Amino acid sequence: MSTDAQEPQALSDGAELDDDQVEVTEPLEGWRAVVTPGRVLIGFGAFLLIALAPFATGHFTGVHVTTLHAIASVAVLAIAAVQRRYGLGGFALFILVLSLLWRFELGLSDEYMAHLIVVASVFSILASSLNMSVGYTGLMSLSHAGFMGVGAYAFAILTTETLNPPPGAEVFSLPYWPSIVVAGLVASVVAFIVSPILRLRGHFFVLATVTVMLSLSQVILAWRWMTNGSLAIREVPRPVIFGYSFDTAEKFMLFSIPVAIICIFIIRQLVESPYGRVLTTIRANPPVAESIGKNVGFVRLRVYVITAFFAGVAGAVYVSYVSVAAHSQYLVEFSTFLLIMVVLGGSGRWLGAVLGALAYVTISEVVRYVPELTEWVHSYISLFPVIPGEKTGGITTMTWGALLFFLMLFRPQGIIGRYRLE
Amino acid sequence: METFIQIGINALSLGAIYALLSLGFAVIYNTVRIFHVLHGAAFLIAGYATWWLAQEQGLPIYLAASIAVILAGASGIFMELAIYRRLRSRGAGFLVSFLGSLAALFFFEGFLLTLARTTARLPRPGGPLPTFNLQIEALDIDLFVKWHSVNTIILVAILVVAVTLFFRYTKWGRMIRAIASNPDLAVAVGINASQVYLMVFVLGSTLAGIGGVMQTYEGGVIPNVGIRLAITAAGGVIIGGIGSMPGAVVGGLALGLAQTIASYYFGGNWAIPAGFILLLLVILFRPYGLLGTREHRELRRLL
Repeated sequence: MSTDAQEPQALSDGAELDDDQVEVTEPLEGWRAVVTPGRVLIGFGAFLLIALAPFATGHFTGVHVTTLHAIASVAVLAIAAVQRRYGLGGFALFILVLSLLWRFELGLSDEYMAHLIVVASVFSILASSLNMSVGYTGLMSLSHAGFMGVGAYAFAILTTETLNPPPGAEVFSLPYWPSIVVAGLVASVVAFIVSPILRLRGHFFVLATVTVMLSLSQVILAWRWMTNGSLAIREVPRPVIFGYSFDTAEKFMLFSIPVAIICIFIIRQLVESPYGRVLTTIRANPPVAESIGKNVGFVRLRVYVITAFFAGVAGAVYVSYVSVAAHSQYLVEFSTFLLIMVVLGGSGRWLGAVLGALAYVTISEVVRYVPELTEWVHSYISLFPVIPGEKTGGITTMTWGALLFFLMLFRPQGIIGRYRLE
Repeated sequence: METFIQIGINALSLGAIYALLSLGFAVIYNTVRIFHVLHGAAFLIAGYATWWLAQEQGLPIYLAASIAVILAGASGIFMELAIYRRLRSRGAGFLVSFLGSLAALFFFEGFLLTLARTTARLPRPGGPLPTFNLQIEALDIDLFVKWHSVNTIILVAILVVAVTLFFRYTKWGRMIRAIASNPDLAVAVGINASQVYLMVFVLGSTLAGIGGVMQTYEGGVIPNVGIRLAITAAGGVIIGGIGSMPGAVVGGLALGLAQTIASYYFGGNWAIPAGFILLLLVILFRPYGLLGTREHRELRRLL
């Protein structure tokens, strides 16, 4: 924090900043350069996937997940300590403590742990694609949950047969796997339609994206014969491969994690390539990008459409998991939560968004226990107010508001952010 | 004809509320250059204070409304001192200020969700508002109009005139305009920017608070409405023209008109998309706003 206080002016000029490596004077050498926390996490993800496959039929228990969680956290913690990347180290410590708490204090069931992993994987896709637009290109978009909703509804409409179309309307029907891609494409098309807002800059682009978000969720509600309005589309199918149905959370995990890894890998390849450096240039200094012959408007349009595609895919996976396409899941509040994930994890780092999504799921789970906590305190100090269980939504919103505010105040670059937000 | 007059009256009374919110937003935005999403919180404070004082504490509605407006204005002081000044002292640019503002609004909405119920709170006995019969024989018009709509329209017209006069003829108004047009020069000639910022926040939040009281009296207030109204206010500013006070009022009225027409012909759910389409059309064909001038277009390129 000492460096933050000394030169806020120099840092706010869009300068590249690696806060955690400021103190490292020489480039890392030997094994430290090879074994990075990011690679350990990826390796851990692959390991988890392979190791858990045999257990998918019901033999795998939450203890395994906690153990693996703990091992990975300790590994990342050790490497982060050696490399003096304190932000990441703090995060690993946080995950370690929480995973132990989860298992031994809160006593979550295996089914529930699997549910959290599925949700986290979907959120990782969303946060990664939003990071490509916010963290790399500087398009501060609050319309992402809207594109997720479009993808989810497109998928639900394409695959579900329980809808009642009006007489004369065509009944759409597609098999499961193409529908996921089509859902992403539909979201892209919607992003292309609203793309005139990309002409705006700064505050007014943010405003326009919020308006897009509000409009999309209202259209979903209002377009009744297509989307069932507030009645929601029910019984959206789960995927089936060669007769193997991913019908429980523990099995669905084996579907959602690979999809997440594929999506995040594609996004990573995009943003860590020369193309990604063009995006970073556009964020930091559009005139420079223009002067080296890049069509800034077209690149921004492409980024907006590509990120909408991934949001649509994530929406399709999510709606397939919860099996209900309900309008109330795709509101502007959720868009803000996605933005918080990106900012919390660290904008401009592809891994940051994944960390942000994991942190989001973890912290939200902890917040769910606040009512119980107040009851516990109340039993000792009777003056302490008890928050009833149905107020959890309000508590969650409050927590995230406070967290985002203090993040903006004290660490605008998030956990492992590459640069400080302006 | 009857239909058009009815739509016109509804649009004016809805647009008047939006115009008030947009005017408050414009006052703050033009001076401080902060995308003040927390504007919705002033609206919520006024709405909930009116409800609590009038329904729970049994105060007369005029007293409750006055206290609520004063509270909303005081919340402006809190916003500036506790949130924006703190962010500014850490060198926050537009993104960080915006996210900080959004976070504070989230915190406040969560607080209300925890404290209050999600159902609408009405600061008056239920049932429809009193109406009067508007009959014009020559045009074959026979309508029932809410007194509340008429009051809202008259009140907002008075307030708009008052704010315009305030900006044109008082010392404080001139100081605010000086800061708005050239902050460095204004500070150099000895204007205290911190005081002006406080003043601007009080003024903007009071306007939002009055809008909150009027809207709440008619339809009640729920916690989630804050961000939508803040965005509507900002949309009115864009439609009217950035940097122009009359533009903000016209933008708010235009939004009200578009939403009323869409609700009448397609149903209430299409109101927000209609506002978006209006915003999109303005951005496409007149990017500097309905009342904006080239000067403001230059201003927008800087943003």
